[in-house]
Amino acid sequence: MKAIMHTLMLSCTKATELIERKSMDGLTFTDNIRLSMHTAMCSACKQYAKQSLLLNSAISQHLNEVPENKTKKKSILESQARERIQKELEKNLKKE
Amino acid sequence: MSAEANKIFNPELWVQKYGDDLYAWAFHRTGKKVVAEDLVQETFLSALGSMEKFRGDSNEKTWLFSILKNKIIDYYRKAFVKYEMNESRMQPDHKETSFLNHFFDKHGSWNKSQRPSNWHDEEDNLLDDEEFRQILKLCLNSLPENWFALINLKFMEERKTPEVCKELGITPSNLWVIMHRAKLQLRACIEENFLD
Repeated sequence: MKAIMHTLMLSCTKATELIERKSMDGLTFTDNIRLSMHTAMCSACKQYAKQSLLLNSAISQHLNEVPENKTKKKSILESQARERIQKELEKNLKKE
Repeated sequence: MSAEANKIFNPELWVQKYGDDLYAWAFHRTGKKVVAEDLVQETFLSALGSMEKFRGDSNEKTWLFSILKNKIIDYYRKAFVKYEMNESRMQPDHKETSFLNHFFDKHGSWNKSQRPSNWHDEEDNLLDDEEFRQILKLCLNSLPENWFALINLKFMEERKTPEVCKELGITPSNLWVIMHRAKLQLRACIEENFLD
């Protein structure tokens, strides 16, 4: 039964591929329908789709949010690095 | 330096005023102290070189941050290219098939042990859950370097696929394949660590 289904419909492999692609760049009309049909029938891929979107938001939040807003201590420049950078900056300033 | 540039900019004060903020961002984005320090230095030097071109449509800090962000993009672009080359020296086709075989059987259905469970994310707002965010960070950092670089490039400020592809010299197809694999691995890692 499973084998027959998968010749007519998307495999979960393909479905998860389309789920990712859809969230980034959208799908063709046909692929959209095929994916909808698959997730309507496949609870695993329905979960995957939900989680994939959640992860996209979570990744975006993680990569784009400014660290200083968190309650954790903010990383700061070590004094050695600070001095080194200041010196380098001043050296190049003098060239102006 | 022109009189206008002199009025707006005070490079001598940059390290003092913005050094920590720029470093915090660079360290957050790369996870590496030395890399972050270098990126901050490069940002200041780059800014020095382009002060004349600055049109004054934002403030000093915003402008410096935009330079830093471009430096970070460069950093990940180079990382991707470097690790992608290492990858392709191994046998790519074999690797790809066996990767998917971990998740899906020969019919392309989920392997029983890999089927996504319910995360109950309607009830608990996972995006605000500190434990979830820590696990996300850990799982992201445990991805292969080239996948991690691509994720950074794609998700940083919601950049579009064509732009990212052009920078890396890959096709949208290549990008989708990598993202598919990366998300499969990431999701599995998170589920494994988050659900007890």
